[in-house]
Amino acid sequence: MSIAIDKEFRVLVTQAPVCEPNGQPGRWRATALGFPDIAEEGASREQVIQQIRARIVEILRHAEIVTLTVPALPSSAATKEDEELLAQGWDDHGLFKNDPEALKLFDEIEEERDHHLVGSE
Amino acid sequence: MSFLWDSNILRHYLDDHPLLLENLKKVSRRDVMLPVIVAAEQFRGRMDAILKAQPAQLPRAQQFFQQTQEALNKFQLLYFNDRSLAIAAQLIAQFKTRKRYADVLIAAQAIAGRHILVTRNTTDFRGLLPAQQLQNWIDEKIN
Repeated sequence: MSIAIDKEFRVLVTQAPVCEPNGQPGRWRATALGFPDIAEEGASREQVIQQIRARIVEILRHAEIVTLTVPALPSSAATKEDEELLAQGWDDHGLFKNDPEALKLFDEIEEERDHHLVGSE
Repeated sequence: MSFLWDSNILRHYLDDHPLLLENLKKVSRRDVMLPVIVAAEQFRGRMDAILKAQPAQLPRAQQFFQQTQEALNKFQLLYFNDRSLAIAAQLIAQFKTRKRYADVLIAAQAIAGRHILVTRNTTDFRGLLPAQQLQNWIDEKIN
């Protein structure tokens, strides 16, 4: 025994602007929200709503919902390491990585310390 | 008790040294401080670079200044107090001309606060600090 349960679908209903040369009213279009491939066009609002309803019913007659489980993307080693560092508050390491110009200051600091000995001031 | 970082540890932090990063997974940033001397050396260097820069070099120089300022803002700075100043005076009198002045000042702060000084340059600090107050997180894995 199967129990039929109504399900709601949200449908976007639009009408194209009036066609200027002949003054004909624009055509109507209905699109199932979330399913852009399910769309119908017609001469009136009621027509496109009826058409898309029939289309959805027909699709669902042959449809089933399958839940798939797939492996999550493996996080890269770098990301994993960053997470561990971030947990300890280390969020700005590597600011001058591979930047010898920025790191030159640290050599200068050592040289300066070497020159400034106790009693030399 | 906190860990005081010498300048060379800051360098390798900003340069992503692999073993230092491995060690830092076990240390909270809240337990680390920078001696004010280390911060002053950074600011002096970055300021000097701006003041001496040709116009073409100014954008990089001011960028380094800004990045350094932002990086240092994330650290607690350790300032001198009466106790560390008194110890600094004792060390200066004791070592006369054999030690680097900045090292002596940093060691004085470590002694005064019973902090652990983290440096790659443990040789220069031997004699200033007992071995148990010295650690090298660049070449040694911490437990």
